Formats: sequence, structure tokens, C-alpha cells
Amino acid sequence: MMKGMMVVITTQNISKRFNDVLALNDISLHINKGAVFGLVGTNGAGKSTFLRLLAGIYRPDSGSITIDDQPIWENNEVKRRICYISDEQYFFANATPLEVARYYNGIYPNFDLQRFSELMQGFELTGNRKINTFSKGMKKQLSVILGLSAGVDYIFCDETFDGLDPVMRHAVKSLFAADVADRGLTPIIASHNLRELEDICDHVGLLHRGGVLLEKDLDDMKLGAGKVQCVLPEGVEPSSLGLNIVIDEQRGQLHTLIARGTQEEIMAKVAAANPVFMEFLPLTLEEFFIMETEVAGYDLKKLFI
Amino acid sequence: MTLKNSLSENNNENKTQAKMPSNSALSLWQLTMKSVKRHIWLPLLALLGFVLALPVSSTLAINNFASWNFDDETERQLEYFRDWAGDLMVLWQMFSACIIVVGAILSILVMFRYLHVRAQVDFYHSLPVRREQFFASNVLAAFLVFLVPYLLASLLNLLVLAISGWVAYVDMGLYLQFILFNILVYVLFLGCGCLAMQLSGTMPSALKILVLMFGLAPLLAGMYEMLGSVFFDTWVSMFSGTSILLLKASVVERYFMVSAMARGYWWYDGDISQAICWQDWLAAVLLAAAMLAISLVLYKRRSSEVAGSTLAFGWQKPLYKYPLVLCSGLMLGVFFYLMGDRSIIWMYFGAVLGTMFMALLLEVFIKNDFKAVKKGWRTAALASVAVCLLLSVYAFDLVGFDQRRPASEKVDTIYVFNSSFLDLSSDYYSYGYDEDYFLDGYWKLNRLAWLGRSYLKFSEPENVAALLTLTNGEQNRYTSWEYDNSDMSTSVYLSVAYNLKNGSVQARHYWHRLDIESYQQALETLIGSDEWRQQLGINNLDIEHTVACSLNSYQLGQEDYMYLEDLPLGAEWHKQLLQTMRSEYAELSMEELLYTSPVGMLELGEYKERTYDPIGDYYDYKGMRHFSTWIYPGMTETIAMLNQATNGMLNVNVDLSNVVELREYRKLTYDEEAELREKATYTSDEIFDERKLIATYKPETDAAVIEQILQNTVTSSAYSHSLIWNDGIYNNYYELIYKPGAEYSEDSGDVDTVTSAILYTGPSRELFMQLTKK
Amino acid sequence: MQVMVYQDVGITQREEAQMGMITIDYKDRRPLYQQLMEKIEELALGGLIKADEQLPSVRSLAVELAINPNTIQRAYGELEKKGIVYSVPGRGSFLAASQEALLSKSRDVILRDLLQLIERAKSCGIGREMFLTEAAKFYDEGNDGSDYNTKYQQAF
Repeated sequence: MMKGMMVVITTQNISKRFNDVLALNDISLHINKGAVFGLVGTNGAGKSTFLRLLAGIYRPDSGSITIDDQPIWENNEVKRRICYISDEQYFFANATPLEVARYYNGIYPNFDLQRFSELMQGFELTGNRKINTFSKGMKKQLSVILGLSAGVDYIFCDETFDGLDPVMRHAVKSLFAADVADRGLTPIIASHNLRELEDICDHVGLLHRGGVLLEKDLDDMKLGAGKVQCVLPEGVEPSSLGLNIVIDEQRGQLHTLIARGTQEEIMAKVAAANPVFMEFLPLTLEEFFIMETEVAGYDLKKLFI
Repeated sequence: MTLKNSLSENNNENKTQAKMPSNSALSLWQLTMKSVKRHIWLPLLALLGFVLALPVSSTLAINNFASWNFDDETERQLEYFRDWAGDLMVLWQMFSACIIVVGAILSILVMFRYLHVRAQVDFYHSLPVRREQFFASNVLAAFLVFLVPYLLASLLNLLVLAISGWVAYVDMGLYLQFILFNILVYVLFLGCGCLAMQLSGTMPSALKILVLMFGLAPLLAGMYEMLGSVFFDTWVSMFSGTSILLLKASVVERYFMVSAMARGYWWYDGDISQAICWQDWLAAVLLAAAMLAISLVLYKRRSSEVAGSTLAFGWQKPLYKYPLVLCSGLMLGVFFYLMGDRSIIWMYFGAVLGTMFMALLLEVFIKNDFKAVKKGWRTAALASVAVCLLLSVYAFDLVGFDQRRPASEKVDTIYVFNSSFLDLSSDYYSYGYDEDYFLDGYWKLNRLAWLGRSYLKFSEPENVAALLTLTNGEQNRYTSWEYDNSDMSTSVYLSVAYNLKNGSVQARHYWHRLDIESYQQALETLIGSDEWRQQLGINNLDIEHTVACSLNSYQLGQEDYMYLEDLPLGAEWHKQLLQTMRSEYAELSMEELLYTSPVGMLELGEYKERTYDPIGDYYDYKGMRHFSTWIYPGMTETIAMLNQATNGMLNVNVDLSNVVELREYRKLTYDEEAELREKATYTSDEIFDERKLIATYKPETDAAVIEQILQNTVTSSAYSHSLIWNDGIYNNYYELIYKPGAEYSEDSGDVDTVTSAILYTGPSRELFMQLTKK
Repeated sequence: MQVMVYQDVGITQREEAQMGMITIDYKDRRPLYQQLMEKIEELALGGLIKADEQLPSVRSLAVELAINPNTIQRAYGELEKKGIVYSVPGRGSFLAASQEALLSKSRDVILRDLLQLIERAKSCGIGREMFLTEAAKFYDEGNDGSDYNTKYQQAF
């Protein structure tokens, strides 16, 4: 049974400005309970700012941001159910993971020390070693472990997966999957790495320069557009195919069209023109986003990895 | 156990059911203790510091004192030990004060450092802990890291005192008071540091804000005083109430002033008074509370994202920037003004340079970006214009500070200090050493009371008018004027404070030239007034508690000085002398006081108490204030008493058998001088010294004439104590030449032998009028 | 990393086998739930999952594959709509006994593939006669296609 499509996190017309830079411009996003929400965007799009607003670190200049209809700012009731994992983790100087865990234990009511030690063992990290001797990847693992042990309902990850090795990534994703299945954890993951997000997220939001370009269910999105490579007969132009073409790249005779619509629709329309050659490819998430942002007038190719 | 195990459905379900939610938020105490434990080096360092400052220094000092040997003098021993205990208290207090100031700032900076680091502030502010809780726990932690070590060290100190038996000598009440005060001041400095942290986003910025916080008020006071003293000829430094208040507005300075009073009294005047007055307590409490309250409010409003920026709030920028810009412009303007030998052009140059430079520099510093220079031009230019305008007001005296005098009817009282005619009986020794005055002046801003101690005051309209006349003159302190022999004016140097009827008090220093008639008339009014006489020291002394300390003689042939205090004259004699002086003074006329020369000066000492030391056979005086009084020829009985006690010290003492001759000279006339000048061999100094011999008298032949001349002339030291001068008196004078071998040496211990003496015609009103009617 | 140790966990070997067979091709651009659906259909058709057999739980599959449980949920949901799978509340999802729909779909797919194959054959110069002959041969001997597998395997 699919978890309820209840909207739990609502951001309504949020704006945030830092000095002369408008980081977020009138954002309205909605995140459902039990969804795994991927927050994607270019550098400086406002992903981290958005997450920090959700975590109650920043206060929006205008608009409202609520979790379960309750404002987040300085609201301990709500914040007890949130854990924020930053892109730059901070741990107390000279502390060991156990000390940090005990600190969390005192602050988060549902913190589970036993789960914490189990997870530490599973990841082969020592609870008594000073954190400043850990590598960067190990520190990331530690913050994930702390987040998962905190027993919170919402976990906000800022580029948490970037920088983990593939085995680690798989393990963390599994852990998230388990918590989502077991207790309806709602993770919001900001990342540059679309490939990683593709399998774990079911909803994505694309931010660009402080604005939301799109916010969709991932699978629906994928079914809503496609790429077709074709060689059309002499004199037939792609524009005459009756397709909602977003991008048309031409190399010699070969057209690479990205159009909106289901696979069937697109193929039918192309086939109707009797092409010499025709092949359909579903879009990857990356391609999808490049398409959307090119539409928005921004050439991203050089920025995405 | 494996990761898979922990992921297994069974296990996790069980756990979710079995887990009971723990207590809600971490309690304040737990948060605080965690903060303390993370920075455990702070209390350890504080403990080390306080242990060194208190029990260790006590031990060392007591060991040192104990090595003194007293031969069974329990009274004296007690006194000495109490004195040393007082020293110890000051030592503890000064050490503790240093640790407290530095420690408070350090602790609070450490506790709130996270505000300046993005990763840290993100971490803390994402936690389910309200800002009030963070604030409270950090402040509490910073407080505890000092409190516990301080109390521990103080206890240890008490232990040391108890063991060594010194508890008896230490004023425990005062000691405890200071402990409490220190704790309060620690909280105050915590508050200041906290405020600085809230207002800034980087450590250097926080430190700069702290410096501004402690130093801005004194800086402004210094600016105000500097401008006044540089540009205004009549400026009196540190008189303005605003300046004094601003200077006191530095908590650091005030704290150390109070700490220096930890012995409870000032120097050796003996009165135990309040080292910490109620104003200090009140100010400390109010400021501490205010600082913490404002910090809390700002913390709640502060955005997490300002970590790393220079200033945390937008509205801070002008506050931060403009006082510094202004001061910089003013200082550089003044610097160039002075360097350019008081040139206005250089002043403007310096002002513009200083303002622009500081404005642009601060803009770059705040924005952390050199390009900010491009945008900052306009405001910097505006600021320069403002500074130039301000300096112009000063440079051209547009407010008429130097020129204006209050109208006579507007003046309630004038306070006057003048060293030539008005400081008779001035209390000059104890000036500045009376701790009572010190605290008064320091806290109560009661300048009138302070003025009343060493200034003369006049409020009768005619006296006020006379003084106002005296102040009239063009002030030209920094330009020298040509000394003109034929100039019948005199130079006047006065310090004056006007207490106006509307309540304002203004002070000025005047130095100008005044025509001789006005000068004379004013002085005659003043010296002849009752107000003046009532203020003479001799009329205000407590005769029961005054002794004549010493006598100076201005008479020819006398030793200059004799110490009277220890002569076996007896208390009655002193009392009678003073009574005689008082009544004879009352009978002296204005002409005698103004125009004649005194025959000597008597130094009187009024004391608070005295104890007699039979062993050394001397009196030990406490709280003595000294007054100088002149003895005029008309005070015959006084002179007789003193002559009797000192074997004729106030008589002319010349044995004609020791005299070669008495010569009479006159100065060269203008024409005669001109003649000499033509003879190029003479320098102008030599011309000046030239005189014309008119007559010579020999004791063998003209004894009677010589005697008469001696009776009608005065020595140069006598003449210098006349209240009114005229250089014309130099025109005719006498020189008495002693025989070789009969010279007498001055009693001052110098090796000078007097071979001759210059004598002037005894001043009188007639002579004065005659000389000034040229 | 000891992720792969199953012994003390209570997952059956059957489940293990099932989960081992369900994999995701990350290069496949299609939505994940579609891939899963296809995979499960393949397994069903191939007889590796029997009728009325329980499918892996949403949770365990999500953990195994490290993907969103909602994706698994959606796949099962869609399969249920197609009648290939049915769910029992509190127990999980099971493969349906009747596989008519599945089979008919498979047939459609195969026939479509045949079309494509024919096109390619044409473009390579395989004539109609040759095509049909070879087709018949393969069809008849299809159960034991070992000879032809070896014969044509070199082509790959």
C-alpha cells in the first residue's frame, strides 16, 4: 500500500536574500509524506539555502514554510522531528562519535543509542576514536549514522551521497529505503549527482537561480518526454511532425529530437512520416534536466558532471 | 551484529515498538555542563591564574612581611600590618581585575565562537534547541568557568590568611565586597563580549567592536578636548562635564580605578571611605543587565547566514563606520594644521585625506572586497565636507569661544585663579592628594565644589564687573608680540570659571595684555572688596588646628628661611600669632595690600589631627593643608612676635661696617641708548644692562642718608611679591656693595655668596601713579 | 562490509534466490518500476516464480536494490492492476495463478520483435524463402536447440 499522498512540507512563496543576492525567489514546493524528494539544481541555485530554511537555520524573508502545518522557525516541537545533515559536517573539536551521539541523545527524544552502535559496527567505524582523525568519507558516514539513529521523521541531506564510494552509497541508500519502508521517513536529498538520485527518489524538484523550474514525480516525468533519433525523408522537416519538440539537434541528416509526450505518441507521429531510420530512447534524468533548463534559457552542459 | 541484521524487518520493528521516547529537551544545566566540558581548559587556566593571584601571592607576601623585626611595638606592628594588608588587597584586586577582564572576554568569545563559523552555526541552529536556551547555556557556561575557580582560589586565600594569622589585619568586609563586585563586573564584561559577538560575524570584527565599545567614549572625549585645546586660545582642559562623563564611560578604566582603591583609602590620609561607591554598584548592575538583555534580543534576531561577514546587522554599519571616520578626519586635519604651523590649507588637506582614507578603508573592511572603493566615493566625500565644516567652526572660532564674555548681569559667580595677585593663601601642597576631593570630582561632576577649593569666588556685581574687565583682551596665545618699552600695558594671565545664572558653568584661560589703567582699577576694586578679604586663608583657618610652619624673610641681609614648626614656642604662641595676624590683616587698607611689598612670607599648616612622638620629639600631622600668607609692614605686632621668636628675622639687617658704598643708578634714556648702539661694539643685552651712575654714598660720610635709603627701599625678592608691577621702578635703583670678606651667604645651602644687593624704591600707590603717568 | 551475510536473518533461500534474480540495469533509461515489472514478468514466464508464490516484500527488495520502497510499491501496484500479481493485506504480494494477460502481452511483444527482425533480415539480404525455412527449422528443433546454438553462437 502506497504511503498516503499527504502533503507534509509546504513552502509557500518563500524568498531569501543575502545582501545583494536573491538566493530564493518566490519558491513554492510541496513534499509528500513518505516521499523521497530529490532537490537538484545548478551551483548557486539555492538548494542548500532551501534545506537550511527547512531545517530552521535560516528564516525566510517572506512567505511561509511549514511542516505538518506548523512553522519551523524556533519551534522545538517540529525541529525534534527533523535532522539536518550539512554538506560541511561539524563535530565538536576532539570529540569521539560516542560523545557526539550522547549529545544528540540528550537533544533528540527518539535517539536510539543501540541502533547507533549497530550502525557504527556495520560501517566498521570506531566509536571511541577522535573524529578529527576520520577521513572525509568517514565523517559523512558518521553524520548519516547520527541522522538515522536520531529517530526523526524528516531528514535533510545536503550532498550527502556525493563523496561516498559506491559500496557506501549502496549501503546508505539501503538504510534510507528501510527507514522509509518501516516508519515513513521522509528524506529530502539535495545533490548534484542525478544518477544517484534517480534510483532513490520518487519526486524531484529542479531549482535554478533561486526559482523552481519543475517539481514532479520522477516516473511521471520520465514518461512525459522522450528522445527520438531519426532520419526523415527528403523535404520533411521535424516541425511538420506535429510533435511538441523541445530540442532539435541536427547532424547531417540525423535529427535528434527531444519532445514531450509518451513514447507511443512520439513514435506514432514520427512513424507517420515514414522515416528512413527511427529509434526511441527514454531520457535520463540528466537529459531531462538539461532539456528543462535549456528551455529556461540557460546552457548547463558545461556545468553538469 | 551485521548491518543486514540491523536492516532486518523483525529487528527493526521490535525496536521501534520497544523504544520509549526519552525526556524532552536537554535541560539547561546539561547543555551548560556539556559546553563547559568541551572547553575544560578555560576553568583550568582560570584556576591557575587565580591561584597565583590570590593564595600564592599572599603566601609570598606574608613570608616577606614576617621577616620584619619589631621590637615589641604591638601598636606600631598592628598599624604596619594593616597597611601591608591594604597593599595585599590592592595586589589581589589588580591581579584579579586583569584576569577578570581578559577571562570574561575570552570565555564568552569561546562560547559564542560558533556564531562566526558557518558549519558550526548551521549545526547548532538546526538542533531542536531554542535560541534562548543556547544563549542561556553559553552565558552560564562562561560564567561558571570563572566562578568556580575564583571562589576556590578565594577560599584558599582565606585559608592562607587564617593559617598565618593575618585575618585580623585584613578588612574582611571590604574583601568580601570586592569579591562580590568582581563577580558582578565579570558578568558585565561577559555581557560586553557577548554583545560584540552578536554584532559581528568574524573574530577580528568582534575584537574591533569590543575596542570601540570600551574606547569610543574616551576617544570622543579626547577628540573634544583636543579640538578645543588646539584651536581655542582660552580652552580649559578637562573642565567640560561632557568630557569627564565620556571619560568615565569606559568600564575598563573605571574598574581599574576602583581596583586601585582596594585598600579602602587613598594614600595616607587615613580616612576609610567607600572604595566602591553606590554609583559604581548601580552602574555595574544596570550595565551588566543591559548588555545581556540587548545581546539576547540581538541573538534572537540574528541571521545564521552572517557567519563570516564583518557586521551582523545592516543598521550597524553607520554606527561602526562614522565615529571612526570622523575621528580620523579630525585627527589628521589637526595634525596637518599643526605641522603646517597652523595653516588652514594644510588643515583642510589633512581633513579630507583622513576622512576619505578611513571611509574607504572601512568600506573595504566591512564588505571584505577592494571593489567597494568604487561605490564608497560619494559618502566619503560627503563625510569629508562635514569634517571640514566642523574644523572650520573651530579654526575660525565661529562660535566666538575665545571672543565672547558673558554680560555682567548674566553672571552669578566668577571663580578666579591667578598666580600673581589672587593666590594669597592658596592651599597648594595638599591640592590633589585629598581623596575626598578626588572621588568628589570624579563621580559627582560637582565642578563648583571642586573650584571652590582652590579658586577665589566673587559674586558681588562690582567685583564681577571688575573681573570681567580683566578678562577683556585679544587672545593671541600662539603669536608672540613685540615687547615695547613704551607700551603702558601689562600682561594678564587668568583662569576663570563663570557660573551663570542660567546654571551653566564655563571655564576659560586668559592670557592677554591690558592697559594699565583698567588693570589698576579692577585690582583696586577686587582687593578692596569684602568678598576678597573673606576668602583669605588667614580668615578661614581653624586657629585651634593650625601651626606656623615656616617663615621666609624678604628683608635685606636676612637668611631667607626658617622652620618654625619645631621651635619650642608652644601651642599658645601659635594661637596668639594667628589671632594677631587675623586682626592686623583686617586693618590693612587696600593700598597697603595692593601696592606695598611684604617683608616676609609665613607658611601656615592646618591639620586634621596630630600625635606627639616623645621619642623623636616631634609632632606627626595628619591631613595637613598648607597656606602661604604675606606679612606686610603694617602688621607691626605680628612682626614683633615673629622677630622675637626668630631673633629679628624680619628686620633689615645691615651692619654698615661691612658696606663699601651705596650707589644710585638710573637707566639710560632712549637717546643715550641710541648713542651706544651706534658704537657697534655693544650688544643689545649689554645696552640693556647699561646704567648711569648718579650718586655714591659712603658709610663713613653718609651713614644717615644710607640708613634712610635702606628704610625706604625694598629688596628685589620683596618687590617681586607686590601685587602690582610697573617696570618703571627699574629706572632708578640702588646697589649696596659689601666689603670683600663680609659677604653673607644665603641660607638656602647654595654656595652663592651675596656680594651686593639691589634695592628698589618701596612701592606705594603714589609711586605707581607717578610712574604710570608717563 | 558485511551486507551480504544472510544466515542469521531469516530470509529464506527462496527469497534470496528471488532477490538475486531481480536486478536493475542502471543504464536502462526507463523508469525503474517499469524495469521491475518487466523483470517480474520474465521470472513468472520463465517459471522461476510459481503461481501463488509470495514475492519479496517491498521492504527487503528496496533494501536489497537500494532503491525507493515507493518504486517497488508502484511496480507491485501496476502488476496488480494488470492481474499478474495479487496482494493479501498484512502478508504481502503473491504471483497470480492465471497468467493469461501476461502471456498475451508476451505474445504481442514477441510478434513485434519478429517484425523488427524481418526488417533487419530484409536489409541484410535474407530472402523470404530462406527466412521462412530457417524459421521452421528453429521452431521444430527449438526444444533442443543445442546444435543451432553452437552453430550460430559464433556470430555473437
